[in-house]
Amino acid sequence: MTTVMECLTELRFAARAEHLQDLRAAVRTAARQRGCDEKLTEQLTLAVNEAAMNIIQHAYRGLPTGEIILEILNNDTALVFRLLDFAAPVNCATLKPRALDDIRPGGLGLHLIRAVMDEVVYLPPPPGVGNLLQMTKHIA
Amino acid sequence: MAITGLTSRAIDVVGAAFGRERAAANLFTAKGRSYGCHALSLRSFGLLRDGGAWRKRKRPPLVGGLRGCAANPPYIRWETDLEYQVNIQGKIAVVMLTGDIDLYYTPDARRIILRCLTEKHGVLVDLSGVTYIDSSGIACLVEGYQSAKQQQLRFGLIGVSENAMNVLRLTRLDQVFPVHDSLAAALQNGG
Repeated sequence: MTTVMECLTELRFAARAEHLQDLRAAVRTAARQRGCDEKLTEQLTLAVNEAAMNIIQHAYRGLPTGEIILEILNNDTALVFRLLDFAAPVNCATLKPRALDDIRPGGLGLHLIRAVMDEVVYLPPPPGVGNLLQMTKHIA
Repeated sequence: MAITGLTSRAIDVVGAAFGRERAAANLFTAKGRSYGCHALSLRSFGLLRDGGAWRKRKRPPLVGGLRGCAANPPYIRWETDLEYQVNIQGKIAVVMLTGDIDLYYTPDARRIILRCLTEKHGVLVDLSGVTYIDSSGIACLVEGYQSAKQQQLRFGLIGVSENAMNVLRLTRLDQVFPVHDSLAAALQNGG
């Protein structure tokens, strides 16, 4: 059975660090609208922010003209966050978080995303899109 | 204006640049434009000495295709809207950061912390005013911690806000950083 997803938010922004606060505001609004408590709201905000940061830093490699689209979808059981970019396709096999006992700067973003989200997958992107990352959080 | 918690050296250094009165005002306004900060970070924020007055260096154009790690984003910023305050307590620099410490503001926070360590001050980072911190902000704290350890200087966190603590827990770094409830507790513990 296919569950109907309702689109809560769509946000398109330049892949630059100064726009991350807009992304966080959109995620917070959607999570609160869905009835998430403050702790979960902040965790979801963190995870989506980390994913967008990865796009800015690694997919676009700091190229300031890149663009990112955030879609937040909702159904009875889950909140779904999709991030679309127009960078070169990412090789998923190379994406590995560092071990937490290896204390050094960086490499924590993927760990944070996986710690917060229930499902993290790269979907086949639509034509013209470089990558489509889908993160799902099941919510009772 | 009370100038509590500053060594006379710190005031003198800033005073030389601004005049003592303005220095005091700037130190405690700390609504972090680059010239409203502690002397330790004046040069690192691109301020140039020009005929007896400090002026801001022109912000260079964005340079594309450069480095891309969390602690070193691919742009250079010479001024900041990051709200912060540095207060020297003997051999310790208390760095109070405020607001969101994200990819945009982390380079400034990193520069401030590393500058204090370069000046051979131990560093206590006050996170009580931090509303949000991401992995780039955490990376900057880890870098400060490691740099301090190498130089056998003190490094710790004080007044960690709930949001920041949640991120530290998720990364298990709450077990790595010395964390203190308050500045008084940190100074009392001494380690």
